Amino acid sequence: MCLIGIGIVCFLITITHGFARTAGGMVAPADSFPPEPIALGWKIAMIAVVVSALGTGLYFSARRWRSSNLFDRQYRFAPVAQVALRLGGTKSGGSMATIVFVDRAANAESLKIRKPEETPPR
Amino acid sequence: MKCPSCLGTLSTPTPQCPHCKLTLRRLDVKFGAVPRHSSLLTDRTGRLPAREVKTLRDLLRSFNGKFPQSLFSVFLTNQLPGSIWEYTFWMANRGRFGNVHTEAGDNFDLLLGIEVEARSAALVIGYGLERYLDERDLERALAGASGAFSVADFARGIRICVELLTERMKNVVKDLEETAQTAAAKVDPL
Repeated sequence: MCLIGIGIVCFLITITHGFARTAGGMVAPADSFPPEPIALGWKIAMIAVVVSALGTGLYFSARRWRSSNLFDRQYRFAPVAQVALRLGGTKSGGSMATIVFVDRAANAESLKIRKPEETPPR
Repeated sequence: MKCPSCLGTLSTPTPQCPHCKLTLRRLDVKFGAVPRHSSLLTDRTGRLPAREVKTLRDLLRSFNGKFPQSLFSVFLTNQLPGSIWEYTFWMANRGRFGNVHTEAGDNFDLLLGIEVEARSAALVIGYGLERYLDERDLERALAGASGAFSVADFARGIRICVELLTERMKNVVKDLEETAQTAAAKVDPL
């Protein structure tokens, strides 16, 4: 990523230095004219390209580092030597937790719909 | 220990449930072929946005980085021929989530199954983790996620569940290490 950013900057510098624009809008080699200084807009654009390239690279690297647990320690368990298998399961014997959750979103929606009808008339 | 079908208590290791006669083979007949699934996160309902899927896969990968023996897998599904408890137990044994050779006491995997329309979920652990986590730990993790599940925010619920279990498992290992260090210090005071 960083190399791409540097490459783009070098390319832009080469273009801006290599050619100069004549009064009639024609492009002529810079040898015939003294080199013009790089315009402020170009400089800002170059810096923006480099910063965004670095930022993108850093973002993806940080994600990869985080998910690969590069800077955190590893936690290990001692293997269990003997296990009595249950219900024919060779990997899990059904040690589990279960839950039935209420659909609050649907409930709230149904309450909203019912509310005007349920309001007793005065 | 509970039977994943009738939720009756299993007091002793048994090849079939003494209450409802459930076996893994019966579940094979009930559920048929193992559906296609990925090792970390499978969403057969299409409820999770692609961006969330990516973030959750990163989180589950990070879990595996912290606990190299354990693979935390999540499965979202709908319209099952049985309950999510039976299905999650069946998938934990028949699915190919982690290393297929990690069986019995070497299996430290976790599987969270969510049935979106039936609004139910089950969290199953492999035999290896039974010594370190009990059913109350799993219940706490699911209870923590239930608020998000209730408002159909499954991504947040899964995240909470994974984070709660990560903390619990970290503490279990740290406690074991401290106990081992204390015991070693008592044996060898120098």
